[in-house]
Amino acid sequence: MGLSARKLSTLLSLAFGLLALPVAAQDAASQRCATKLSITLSGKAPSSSLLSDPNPQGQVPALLGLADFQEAFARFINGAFNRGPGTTPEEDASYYLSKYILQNNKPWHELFDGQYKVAANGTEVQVTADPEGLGYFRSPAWLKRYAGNEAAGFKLVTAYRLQNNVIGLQLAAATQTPGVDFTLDGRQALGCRGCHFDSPFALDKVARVLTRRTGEGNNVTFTPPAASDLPQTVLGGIQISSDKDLVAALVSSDSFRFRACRLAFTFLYGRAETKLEAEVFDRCVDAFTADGRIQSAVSVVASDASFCQ
Amino acid sequence: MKTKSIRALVVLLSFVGLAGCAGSVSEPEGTGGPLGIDPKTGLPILGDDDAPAGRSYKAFGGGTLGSDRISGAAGEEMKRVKPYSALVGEYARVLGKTPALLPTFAATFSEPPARWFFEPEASAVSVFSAYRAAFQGCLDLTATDAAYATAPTPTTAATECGKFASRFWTRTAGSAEIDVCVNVATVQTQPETDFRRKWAYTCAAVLTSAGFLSF
Repeated sequence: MGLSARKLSTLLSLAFGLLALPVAAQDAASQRCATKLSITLSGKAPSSSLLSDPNPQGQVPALLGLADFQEAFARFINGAFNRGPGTTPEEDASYYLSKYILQNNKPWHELFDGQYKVAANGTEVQVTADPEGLGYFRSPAWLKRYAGNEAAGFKLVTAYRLQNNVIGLQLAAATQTPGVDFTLDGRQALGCRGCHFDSPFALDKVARVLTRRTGEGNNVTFTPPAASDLPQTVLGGIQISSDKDLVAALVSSDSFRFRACRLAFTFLYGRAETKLEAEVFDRCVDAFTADGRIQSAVSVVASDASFCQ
Repeated sequence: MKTKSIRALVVLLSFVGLAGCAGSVSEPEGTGGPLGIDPKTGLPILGDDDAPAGRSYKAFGGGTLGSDRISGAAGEEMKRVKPYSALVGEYARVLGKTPALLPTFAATFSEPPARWFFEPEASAVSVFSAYRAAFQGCLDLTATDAAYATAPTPTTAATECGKFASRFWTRTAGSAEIDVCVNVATVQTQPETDFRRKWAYTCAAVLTSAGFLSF
């Protein structure tokens, strides 16, 4: 019925904003905008050319192509996808692959389903082509880091991390509660089975389609899932038989696109989107859906007038 | 000297609070229509009733994504603490050079480790360290200009406080902010006998406020 937030914003800007501001105030507003853009997108103070640009948001596409943005965003993703920094560089596989995705202008879903491997090569960590790759999810250091310690070798932690990283699933682990029974029987008890067996993201069901862990630490090895455990029905009625099936279902969902734009907002604002920003969020999703690039999602939000108000 | 620094910090912290709150609005939700005009931008402050609902996004297993979206007026929750990586260039931008102390403060400002990120947060230690770096930079800034060769008066302080604010915050200071700054220059720095150091304290207080340390 009424005006969209964007149209309203434009009208109000004309009525109360830029046209009413003296030149010096416009310059100051542009400089504040340049500072905000630069620190947000690169972590650094603005360049003199950005500071002197009367429309710094016009430079957003260029800023998103710079190495500083690739570094800042890869760090942000690594921070969002893990509980803490890796103990070795290769454990930060999400950092290396997200940076590679940005540097090579690849679609964002390849971070999770691309045919890559992230592994140490001497003193460096490299991203290489791997026909058996599944984003960074099959990279050796990541597999070991999140293999977990379930007694029978079911990778519950991996099951959670996969869904957390791709669609932002958040669950509170109860295994720290004193006296809690975290065996298979315990996980089937009321209060636990919701997350482990009954929810669309049932960790025990997902873990059954993953390779199974044997051993611990550097001696860990993985064996294929038991044929009798396949397939599993998760995600509200989707049958999966492997990690690849799971990721394919996740990246083709609304949840994946929603997650991409929530990441964009969190990167740019330090918080998730608000109700008032729903219209910008929807345009973010449209842009991301159109070309699959996370840069497009970030660009919509950073280029919107509201970002510099 | 230590006493002077601590006194200056007390003054500074009250100043930080003032500058941090300038222009913010706290109104009850659901009032309908603009909540007021933001004095900094001149734009209307919109409330939730003005928010379009947006599209709904389907969650796995039914339900809708985005139900956790927070309420609030436009412009709230916009300010973030500048990370150390930005402060290095920011001090140089407004002062002309980076204070020599700053490179020793990377850990104080919680510079994240390699490949990592976390949202910077201000603490008593980081604000005090920022003040030390600012004071050092401000000593240089006020070292030679004739404007800082005499003791601050309410009139000269108001003028110079306005200049500091424009330079460090990239915006015009409000009258309440100027009043606080003038108080720093003319009252809080009374124990200091060196005129240029009085100005440096004043400069450092403005430089250590939210107007500069956040973006």
